[in-house]
Order: sequence, then C-alpha cells, then structure tokens
Amino acid sequence: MRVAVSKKELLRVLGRCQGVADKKSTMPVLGNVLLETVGPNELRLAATDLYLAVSGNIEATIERPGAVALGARDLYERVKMMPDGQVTLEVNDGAATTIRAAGSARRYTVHGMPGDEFPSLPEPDANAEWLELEIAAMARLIAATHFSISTDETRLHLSSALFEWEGDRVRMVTTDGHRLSKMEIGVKGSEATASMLIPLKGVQELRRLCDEAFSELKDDETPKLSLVQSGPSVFFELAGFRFSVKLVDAQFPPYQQVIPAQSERAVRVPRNAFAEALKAVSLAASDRTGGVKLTLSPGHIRVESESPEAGEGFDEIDVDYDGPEVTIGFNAQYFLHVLAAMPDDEVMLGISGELDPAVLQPGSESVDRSYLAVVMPMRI
Amino acid sequence: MERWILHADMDAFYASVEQRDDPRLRGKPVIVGATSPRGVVSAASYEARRFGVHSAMPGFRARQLCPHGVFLAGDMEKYSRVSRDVHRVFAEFTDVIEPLALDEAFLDISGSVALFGPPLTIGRRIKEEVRARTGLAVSVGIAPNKLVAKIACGLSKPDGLLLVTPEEVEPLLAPLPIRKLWGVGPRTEEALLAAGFHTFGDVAGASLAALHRAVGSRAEELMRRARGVDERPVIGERMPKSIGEEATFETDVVDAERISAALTAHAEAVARRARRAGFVGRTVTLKIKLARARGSHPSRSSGLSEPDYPLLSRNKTLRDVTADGALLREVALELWARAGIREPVRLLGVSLSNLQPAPSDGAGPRAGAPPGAPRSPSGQLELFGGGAPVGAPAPAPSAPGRRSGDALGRALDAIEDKFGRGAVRRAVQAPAKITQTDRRKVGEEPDES
Repeated sequence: MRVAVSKKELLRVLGRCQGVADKKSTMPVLGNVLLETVGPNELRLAATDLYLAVSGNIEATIERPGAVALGARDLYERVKMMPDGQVTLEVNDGAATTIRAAGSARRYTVHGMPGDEFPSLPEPDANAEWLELEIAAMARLIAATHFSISTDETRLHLSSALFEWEGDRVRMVTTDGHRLSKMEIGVKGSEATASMLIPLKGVQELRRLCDEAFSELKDDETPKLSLVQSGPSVFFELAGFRFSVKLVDAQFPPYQQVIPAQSERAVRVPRNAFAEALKAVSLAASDRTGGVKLTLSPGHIRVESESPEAGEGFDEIDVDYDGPEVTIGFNAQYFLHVLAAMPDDEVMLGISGELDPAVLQPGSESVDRSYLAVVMPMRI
Repeated sequence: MERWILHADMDAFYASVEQRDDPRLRGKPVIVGATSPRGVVSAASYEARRFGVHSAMPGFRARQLCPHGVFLAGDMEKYSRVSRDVHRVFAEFTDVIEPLALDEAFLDISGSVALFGPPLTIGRRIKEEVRARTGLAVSVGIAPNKLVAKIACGLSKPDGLLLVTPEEVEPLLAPLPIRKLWGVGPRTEEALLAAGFHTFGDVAGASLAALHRAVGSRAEELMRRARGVDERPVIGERMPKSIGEEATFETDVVDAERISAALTAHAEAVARRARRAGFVGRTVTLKIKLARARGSHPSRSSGLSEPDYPLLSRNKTLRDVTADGALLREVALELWARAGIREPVRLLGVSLSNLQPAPSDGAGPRAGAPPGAPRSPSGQLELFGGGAPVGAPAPAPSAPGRRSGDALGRALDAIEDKFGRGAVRRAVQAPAKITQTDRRKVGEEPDES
C-alpha cells in the first residue's frame, strides 16, 4: 500500500480510532487501527475493541492499494509530529510502514500487521431502517445524563444509558443506584420505537463524536446523525464516521418507580447561587463521603458541612419558602453534576423526608424538553 | 496521650541464629542465602559486613569480597520459629504490632507507657526479654512516628537502643544523607543531588518550588518526610492485606466450564476464609497465568532456565464491602470475561483486598443499617431498595429463586462445620454431574415441553 493523505484529516479520524482501539487487550491486533484503501481515492480507517467499533474514510491519493494494521497510539503520535500538509504512508516488506511528508526529512517506520489479520467490523442488516436525529438532540441527551451512569462494570445494567425512542420523543435515562437522570426531547414529525442500553464507553465515544461533528460545523447547519439497531448492536453515522456499539443485554432497573410523583416541599432555587454554595461548602466536606447538609427553612436554604478532618463549612442562599424546617444530607457532587447540566437560571428542588429522594427539575418546563434528576440522600 | 512508635529490628538475623546454634561460626563472617550461583545474600553477619557484604547483594559479588566467608543455604523454618518467639515478646508490651518481616516490626507503645513505664524502659525491657529468650540481639528505635523510629533503629545498630524525642527529630535527621530518606531510590537521589540537596536538612529547609523542580509532584511528601513528619498508623497484623486463593491447573485449561468452576471454587473459598477471619473486603482481583511461555529466565535457586508465563491481573473495586461468595464469583467471572483471554491458562487466582473488619455481630456489612432504604458504609442511601443487595448484579431472570448474601454464606459455613469441607458446593464446581434436567431448571436450556 502507498497512499498520500492530508495530515489534518488523517489525524482527525485517527483520534477517534485511537479512543476505541484496545491497547490493553490480550489480542494485540485490537490495539491497532486498520488502514485500507477503498475504491479509487479513499482510505478507510477502522478500530474496534470487539464492543465498540469506529471507522471513517478520508480522501487519499492511492498509488498502490492495500491494507495494514498499525498500533493506534504509535501511529497517532507519529502522525501528530509530522509537518502539516500531505503525508505518505508506505507499507514495505512485512507490514513495516513508513510515514513521510513531502519536503521534509522527517520519517518514521512503524511495525504493523497485515490488514487481513484485523477483525471484521459488524455491519447492520441491509434492510434495517435507519432513523434520523439531530446531533444537537443526542448531545443534549448525553450531556444531561451521562454523569449518573455507574462506573461499576460488574453492574452492567447500571453502567449503561437507557436510550428510548417513543413516537415523537427520544429519551435517555441513567442511574448508578444513588441518583438518576432523565432527559426527554421532542422530535418533530418523527414516529419510531426503539429501546436500548448503551454501555458507558459507548456513550462516552458517542459524546466525543457529537463534539467532533459540532467542531466541523458551519453556521446555519443543523447536522443530523443516523442510527439503526441491528442484531446485538446499534450503529450510528455522524461527522463522517460509522460507529457501532454492542448493546448491553440486561434489564434496566424499573426507574419510573423511584421517581417521586410529588414532593412534599417544592422550592424555586437560583441555580448559580445554589451551585456556588454547594461547591464552596463541599470543599470542607469529608473526603470520604462528600456529604453536605441542606436545611430548608423559611426564607433560606442553608448548606453546611462538618467533618473531623476537614473542619466546617457554611453558606446560605435566599429562597421563597415558608414551610417547616427540614434538614437532609446529600452528596454535593450529585447536585453539582445536575446543576451544571441545566442551562436554566432557576431550578425546582423538591424534597420530602430525610430518607426520601430529592428531585431537581428546570425552573420552567417546555414541551420539547423535559428534564428530571432524582438524588437519594445520605445519612450524615 | 503522647505517641510513641518503636521499631525493632533483629541484628543480622539469619546469620545470628546460625552463629548462636553453631559455636564454630561465632566470630566468623557468615553469609546466608547466596549458595547458588545466582542467589542473593539474605543476611550477613557483622563480621562479613566488614568486608562490604550486605543483604540483597548478588552471591558472586559476596564471594569476591569475602572469599573465606561461611556461605549457608539457610533454614527458613528455623528462622520462623525464632521469629515467633521474638514476636511473642513484642506482644507482651502492646497489641498494636505491625510485622514488616520475620526480623522486623513496628510497635505502637503509646498506650503501654502507663503500664510498663517510660518508652526507654520499654525499649530496654524488650531488648532484655528478646536476649533472654532467644539469645539474640535486637536493635530498637523509639520515636514519635514510624519514619523516625526506623531511622533511629538503623542508627542505633548493632544491639542499640535510641530514643528520639519530638524536639530531637529535626536535629537528628538534618545531617543524614538523602539516600536514607524513605521513598528515595537511586533515581530520585540523583535528581536531588543534582539540584544540590544532599541531606535531610537540605530538603527540609528547601523552598517547595525548588524541590518541586527537582522531583516534581512528590516534593511536598519528601519535604514532610525529611522533616520527620509521618502520620501513618501502626497497622496490626490482624488485618491482612488480602485473602486469596489460587491454584495451578494440572493441565492447561481453555474450557469455559472448567474456568468457571475454578473461579467459583476460589471465590467461595476466599469468601469462606474472609467470613471465618471476620473480614469483608471491597476489591476483587483476578490473577491469570497464561500457559504459553513468552521467553524464559534463569531460576534463582537452580540457575536453570525457567519459562516466563505471562501473568495478568484484573481487579475491580466494589462500592460496598462483601464476603459473599456468589458476589465474588460474579465479579471474578466478569473480570475473566473482560480480560478476553482466548488461550490456555495455567493458573487462576481470586483474592479479596481492601479489607476491613466485618461488623461484630457477624451478620455482614449492612447488618447495622436501619430499616428502610439500604445504605452503603458512606451513609449514601440507595434508590433501588429492597431488591438485590448493594454491589450485587441484578439477579439473572432465569433464576428467580436465587438467594445470595450473608445469610447464604452463614448457612454454608454451618453446613461445612457440621459435615466437613466440600459437603456443599455450587453445581458449577462439578460440571460433570449437572444433568440436562438441572440445566433446564435453571433456564440454561429450553424446556422441551
């Protein structure tokens, strides 16, 4: 194989492949990125860890077609060091590949593997029906919920995001067993049904791909992604990439049951001031638990922390409340994640007893967007 | 209560034991542990040390330096016996003992002062008792913390006793070469020397910025240590670091069912040992040795070539502590699956670490939790209460009657107590005995009807 490609383009696609390639796998080939020529003037790059797979094509001047698999990180780092402009990749004897740039003496040789040793990537059923969704919508779903995905990989049903499409609404729900986030967005004119559990790593990569799509964006575009569920996987196409994720085959917990229908006390809270107070006081919270005490009293919310190691912290914000005083312990981080995910100036905080979940919602609801977060208290 | 930590270290332990038991060796350079061509010195008598021989030195080098030395293979069993006698003496003065090796331990004697007198008296009595019962010399350093106690002990050798009061810490440490600072290896030493830091005092008095330039993010820690600040507690020996089970297969294994059976057996055994010892743990580690050797290395004992079997380890820290065999098994299997091994395996092991004492009523980690929402040790309440225990995977839908957790563990222990080990096992541990009907019952195979 001998091809010439734009360094910038190559790096862009390699960057995403690098994120997916599995450098720690016992199958060394999975630490590689596959490069193969496609048709007269395209180079396809692909990487997989057998759960996620990503591929993208870039324009190439093909002098000699072929395929090779090269260490993803090694290649990425070396290409990054090449001067801007065109770079040539030439596969020599075996799978040793030399990287050069026109007008520069700099060159690298990377030892790779023959392209045919690279596993083939999953393909969707040719008859499967693709759905279209604005990338912005997907990005908002993920941004509003990703933080409450459990990182505990032994609890697969929690270390994934529930993605559902119900008629003209799409929804993402995540929970780590301590808190839950649910975001729904209206999709005008759509009529579809889908339900899938996307594992954490898949959500993270999808998020990066959405960012990638936005960075390429011109002003008046509303770019869309296509998705299709086929076999055990879901396939996405966006920003010039094909991305597939092997879905989690497990039962998402019955999340509707833990969303309180109504809270005993609901109070409207200025989002920024609340977040600032939580941030400030949690600095003095116990490292081990991160717990702070929230006290709702007439006219105020008090935020307090005390721990033998970290001393004490206190803050207070004004709210419009005149019910009885109630004190509940919470992990401040859980609140901060939610507050950071809401763009609204005001949020509705619903709390009941000291063992009952708190509910956070945007201060004003809109038809095409509904967000809700549930946070379980701590005993402090 | 003033904090007093005592560091006790037997002088040239193995060599001294040999000299004690064989009068012909007394006064001679005795070197233990370098008898094979590629062995290393595990102990050198003070006579041998005069020739520059020290522990961890390659055997051939020791022979060059001290060709007339007496080289002995050593008798670990004997040293262990003597070590037990020594530790028994320690245990008479405090119950907060952290053994570091057969010949070395930290003792927290803060609470012993009221019973046995001032720290120096305790140190002297320990030395006397050890000599009386074993005929051996132990050096003792006493200081406000572990770091300084260990340094004091080293300075006092041989057969020494040195007490460092809080006021004496800085003046004592200041002139010492930085090589002696705990955590400073050859590379850090080089970096420090290059930056002009030669002694503890240099580091202690440096500007943090300058130190940071030399050693990076460790600057603050090194500075604390150089000033003799060390808050680490003496951790009693009752708290093991981990509880593990492992076994080498008689023949290399690829078969998924045998892998699963082995992991199950290890997981159950680890859980049982943890329960017996009264511990619960949070981190599960899976150890895998692959059957296909990648190269070889010379054996330490025989000098013959030994194959290098790749050793992998995968671990997972749970949100909550456990001593539940079923949960350990789930995690071990999950770690196995994630490791993605597709080749024969030589050895498998499962261990539980991040240990803490189980609640004293023996009912398991969450026994003390109030009724209502379940909680983890942090006090964080769970959203999905009432179902699977915290940290447990969702029960497989095909096994609706499955019970796991502490109650099951206790029941298993009771059965084994009465009927002997292995009286009750998981079915997966005897795959050959599983019938089609059994498989149907647990939903592994579709019902024919």
